[in-house]
Amino acid sequence: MTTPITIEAFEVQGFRAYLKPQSFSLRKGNKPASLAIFAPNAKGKSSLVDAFEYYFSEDATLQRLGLRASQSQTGPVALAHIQAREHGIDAEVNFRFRQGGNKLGEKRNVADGKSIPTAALRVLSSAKVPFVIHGYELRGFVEATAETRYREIASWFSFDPLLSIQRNLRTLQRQIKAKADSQTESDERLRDLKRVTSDAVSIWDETAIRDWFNTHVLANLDPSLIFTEICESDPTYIVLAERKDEEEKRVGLAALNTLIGQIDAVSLPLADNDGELSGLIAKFERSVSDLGVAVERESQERDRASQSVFNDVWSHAKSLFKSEDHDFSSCPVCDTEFASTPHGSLEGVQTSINAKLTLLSAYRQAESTLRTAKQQQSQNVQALTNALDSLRTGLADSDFEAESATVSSYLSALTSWASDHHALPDSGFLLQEMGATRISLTNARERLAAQQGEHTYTQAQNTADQLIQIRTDLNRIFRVKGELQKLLAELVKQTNATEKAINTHIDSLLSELERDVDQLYKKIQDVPLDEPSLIRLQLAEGNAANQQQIRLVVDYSENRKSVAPSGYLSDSQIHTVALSLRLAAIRKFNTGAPMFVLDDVVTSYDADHRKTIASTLAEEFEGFQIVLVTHDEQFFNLLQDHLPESNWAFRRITHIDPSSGPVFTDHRTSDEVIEAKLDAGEPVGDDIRKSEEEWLLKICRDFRVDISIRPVDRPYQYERGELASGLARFLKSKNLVPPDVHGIHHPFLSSLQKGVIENFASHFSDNPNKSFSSGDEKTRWIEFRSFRAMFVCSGCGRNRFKRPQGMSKPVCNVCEKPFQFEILG
Amino acid sequence: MSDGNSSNDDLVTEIVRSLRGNPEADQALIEILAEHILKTDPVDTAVDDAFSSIDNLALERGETNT
Repeated sequence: MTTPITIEAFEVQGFRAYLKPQSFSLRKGNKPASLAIFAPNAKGKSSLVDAFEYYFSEDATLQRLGLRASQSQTGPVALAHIQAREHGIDAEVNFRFRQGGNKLGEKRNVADGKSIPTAALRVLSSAKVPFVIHGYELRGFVEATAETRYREIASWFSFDPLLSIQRNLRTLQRQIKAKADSQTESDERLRDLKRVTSDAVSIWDETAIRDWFNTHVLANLDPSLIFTEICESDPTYIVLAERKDEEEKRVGLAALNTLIGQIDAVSLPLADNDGELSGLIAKFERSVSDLGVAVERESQERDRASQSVFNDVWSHAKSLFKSEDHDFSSCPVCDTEFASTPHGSLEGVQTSINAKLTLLSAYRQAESTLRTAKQQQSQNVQALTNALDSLRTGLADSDFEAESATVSSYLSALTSWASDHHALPDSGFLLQEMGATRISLTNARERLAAQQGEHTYTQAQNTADQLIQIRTDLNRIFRVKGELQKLLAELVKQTNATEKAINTHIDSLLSELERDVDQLYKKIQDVPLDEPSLIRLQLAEGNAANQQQIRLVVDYSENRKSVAPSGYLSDSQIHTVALSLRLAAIRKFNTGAPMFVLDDVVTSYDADHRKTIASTLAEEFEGFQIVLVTHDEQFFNLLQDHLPESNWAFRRITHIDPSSGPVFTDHRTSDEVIEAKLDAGEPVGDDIRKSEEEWLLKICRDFRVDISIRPVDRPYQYERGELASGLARFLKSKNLVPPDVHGIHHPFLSSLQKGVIENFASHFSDNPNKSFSSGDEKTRWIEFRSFRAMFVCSGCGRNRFKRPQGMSKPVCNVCEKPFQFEILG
Repeated sequence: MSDGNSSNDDLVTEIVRSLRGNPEADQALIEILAEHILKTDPVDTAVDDAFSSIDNLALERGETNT
């Protein structure tokens, strides 16, 4: 278990009602302490609760302020004191924590404190239950919906992973069910069935499908063939397969079509534009002709260009003679005058050069055409050779032996021509014979088509195979769906078993919390603890969707069990239920950060219940640091009576000073602080005076000393001498004479009355720099403590008293023994 | 107080052990749930992964159990 983290102190400045820095210690000696603060309304006590809420807020704001920060000046903007900026004070809250031997702390500045301090995160990681309890919102948890309550309690118990398991199991169930119920895959196969049967059958009906196949497929081929079952083991399927094989061995329509296509590819005449529809023989012969023309043209152009063979020379000469930079009258190469040349002039020379270049260009074009023609002819020869070879084989396979021989003969001639280009093969006979063969084949095709139409054994078996495949697929789909249904049923069982285990676990944990809540409720409501339990936290029963609910009910009476609290309990009882639940949860779950803040939680209680709350805090939350703010002075006094001074500090806010903020008074000045200062040699006169005043006020209140009442806003600002005089009168009237303090010669109470401290120059000084005698202060402190120690109960040793109405002398607050001074030895 | 997370881990371990101990339960399904769902820190795709595994299991059984 990790060491609990505790608060050492917290400070606020420029925050809400606090302008100047104000610090609050939550430590006494070496131990964590609690703090109770009383203040009338609107005096700044809630600002301290706000400091807690803000410091631990993820959103750097208060729940009631929200995140609005626009022109309304609300949201985080409202956190800063309205004069903070004007006074140059940073609005901030600072907490200092201790965890074992480690100290940690961090300021959170309102201006730039968007991210939560690391120290706050450390606390929150150990505090599953929100630990700032506002009295005004307590009822909310009691009256929240069962779902909201479930979510909150689930977060306390870290149920989230368990909720996630339940949620995932339910999602998985839904997905499996959707898949098991899905028709998509089977619908797809039924669409295939509809297509295969030409829309005749749209659902899987063995009889209908068989009848359709027998009637519309097999009957067209052989009416004697009948399927009894559409499957590969049916005897008819075996016959169908055999006939398909036989059909493939005969010439069928497909084979005829192929052969006709091969003949056409070879023998069709030249089409317009020499396109793709031309026969290969025609294209070949055309390319031979084109090549002949190209050869002739190239030869002619070559002859004409022979005189112009030096293309580069003429090209350069052309540019030379066109130069405008020179005024030629003679040849720049041989210096012959142009007039003396065969061309007669420069222009004549230029004309001659252009003519030679033109001849050379025509030759280059003819040479290119020849090259292209050669390539084209070569390609055509190759294509024709391949086509003839295929045709020869096709004809031979189709029993057209003679025609095949004719093709072979032409092919042979073509091959020979390709090697020597001497004798161009004569295609006349071949084309004539292929024309006749084509007519024969076309007639055969028409006969077969008339005989069989679209129904062949090949197609029939193909249809049968598709139907068999569809049935196989549908069977598989239905089997898989069946398996999914079985798995879904099993999943539901295992989900139920899992949820039952989880809910039993949650119920068990809820019962623990329920016992704690009931115990706290009884203590606060002053109900005997052995009375039957009243409060119950019930996990909702029913289907899975309802199980994420926790009902908060009370067994109000024998005939009113499990009823909603709001229908039967009083306002204060409902308040107690809510407070008990929250406190029980904090005690159970926040052990790593034992602290909580109570913000005016006793508003709806009478005096007796305030007393039980005070005693409950003292008895049940001894190990917790509590910061309690209240505007109820009676409750505050009760707290002072019931809570041990050893680990509680009490502070009062009397008013707000506009220049600084809430003004505190009447706080207890601890002995430890004074003694630590004495040990350190620091001035301590003011602290001793405050301590004396605090004690005087306490004992006067306990004894109900008759002193004049102050105005409401200064109820505890009595003068020390006034209190001491009142106490002296009271003691004298009751014949209670305090013994002398050892070492001094007058009653110590007199010095309190006079306000005079012997040899104690700095005691009432407002000037901290004024000289002081630490020895005198120490002596004074010892004398005061000795005097104070006389006011103890001779029966139980406690130092709190009371004097109920009608009683003359004070009695011990606990054992009620009449007070009297012990005779010092 | 016991830590909530370790308490949850213990509970889930016990649930899986209990489901596995039921001879009438579909063990293949339990193993799928144990691998993907019955965890305190499941991956984001836990449900999809479990669904895929269960679908494959149904397919496998549908194809073999003719």
